[in-house]
Amino acid sequence: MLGLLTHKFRQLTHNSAVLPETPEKINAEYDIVIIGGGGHGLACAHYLAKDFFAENIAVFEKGYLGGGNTARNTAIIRANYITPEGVAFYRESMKLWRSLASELGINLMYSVRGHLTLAHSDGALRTMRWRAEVNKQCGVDSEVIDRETLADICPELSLSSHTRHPIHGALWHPDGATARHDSVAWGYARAAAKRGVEIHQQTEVTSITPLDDGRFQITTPRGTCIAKKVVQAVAGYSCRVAEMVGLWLPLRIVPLQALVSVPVKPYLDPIIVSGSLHLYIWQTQRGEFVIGGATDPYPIASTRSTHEFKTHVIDNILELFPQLHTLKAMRQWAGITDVTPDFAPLMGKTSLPNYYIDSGWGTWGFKATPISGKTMAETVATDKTHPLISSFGLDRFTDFALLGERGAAAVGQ
Amino acid sequence: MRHVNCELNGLRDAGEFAYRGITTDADPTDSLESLSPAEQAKNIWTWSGYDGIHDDSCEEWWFHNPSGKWSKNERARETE
Repeated sequence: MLGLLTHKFRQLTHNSAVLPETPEKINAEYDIVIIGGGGHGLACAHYLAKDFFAENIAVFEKGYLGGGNTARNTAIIRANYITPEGVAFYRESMKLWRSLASELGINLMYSVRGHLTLAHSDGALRTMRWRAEVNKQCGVDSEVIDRETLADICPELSLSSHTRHPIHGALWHPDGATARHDSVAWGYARAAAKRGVEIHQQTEVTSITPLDDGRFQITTPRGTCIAKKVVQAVAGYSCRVAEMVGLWLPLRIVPLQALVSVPVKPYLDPIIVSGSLHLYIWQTQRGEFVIGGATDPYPIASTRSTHEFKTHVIDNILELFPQLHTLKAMRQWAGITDVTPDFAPLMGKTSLPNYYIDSGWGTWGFKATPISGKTMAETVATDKTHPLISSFGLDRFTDFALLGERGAAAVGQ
Repeated sequence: MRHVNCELNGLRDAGEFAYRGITTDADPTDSLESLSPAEQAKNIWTWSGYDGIHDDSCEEWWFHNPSGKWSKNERARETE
């Protein structure tokens, strides 16, 4: 009896571990419909309800919560980008990350590890000096370090000169962190549902029809509804959903693959990235090595894994960590990324009134999840573009006002 | 392992090719000078494959690096 009472008390005072259930039916009308139940869509729903007291919000998710790129990224969080716009945006995201677990009431396993981007040439070092200066000017801790300092920070890394790509130095970003990615989607889903947001899983949007009065008719296999405002946050499906309302998006849809090893004892503390070798690696709290690489070289909307990726990335990992040659890969996967020409996101208002996009996240938008939700929520609620995302609009591709974030993408693409 | 057809050498490993987008939007050998800025923008982005994924299969430009030969190939970008 006491056990039951304790359990009931815990249910009332803590967040339930159970995710919100899909409502039985779709309502005839919503104020805001968010297409995509990944981290970004759910964060936008949460901040709309929390910060702007928006009501009558629905999230439509084709599959299950966080089943897309939210759970397919490599869970790295950093702010050391190369353009002032990008650095400012991710700097604010990192501020939100630090208190996100307590805000959502869920253990996100947020772990500050430090982030090292390796330079294998003088040209790479020049780019890193540029990045470090921009980062410092924008208030992000980042500096170029030499080989000796690198050896102190990561003694496990091979600094041999007898390799194909000897390491000349690195960009050190002490605030680089990791978090459990699917917990982020679950946390936002529970928090949003608590504030009345309807979350409809297994509900694919099959058509969107703009109506004469500025609203939208949205069709799904579970029913049709009218929405006053629509937000799409669907990553690799961005072009297809945008086409439903006649919008053309300059996105390359390419798979990005990753793999994880069997768990071994804690060995590697910082996150290691090499743009020249097209890879990044870090070790989880469970001991698995998470290893990512470059995007596939041509557009495809499939999440198949390839043998070429695995051999390429393992070949290069062993150049950095030859001692891992007996480590076995346990699992390999792919996500479908949406990459813009300048590697900066595509966010905010569109040429269609009351239709908003959140896409172009390229090599994952996981690290941007909180700030993307915050800024998109403000943009949708007020219909005024949030200053932090004013440079990320769709019009930059016709005005030739591109951002040039390619040099700070996780790996060379 | 994906193979792509080269008009000169037949089926070759996809790693030997550079991808250049669908054939209907832009010809990689076209001059951009006669186009307006907006047309240039669209031409450049589609040329580079910045045209999303469409449900139907489409014809694409592939450049075979070793032989320097342009080839057109049809592919269902949903799955292939």
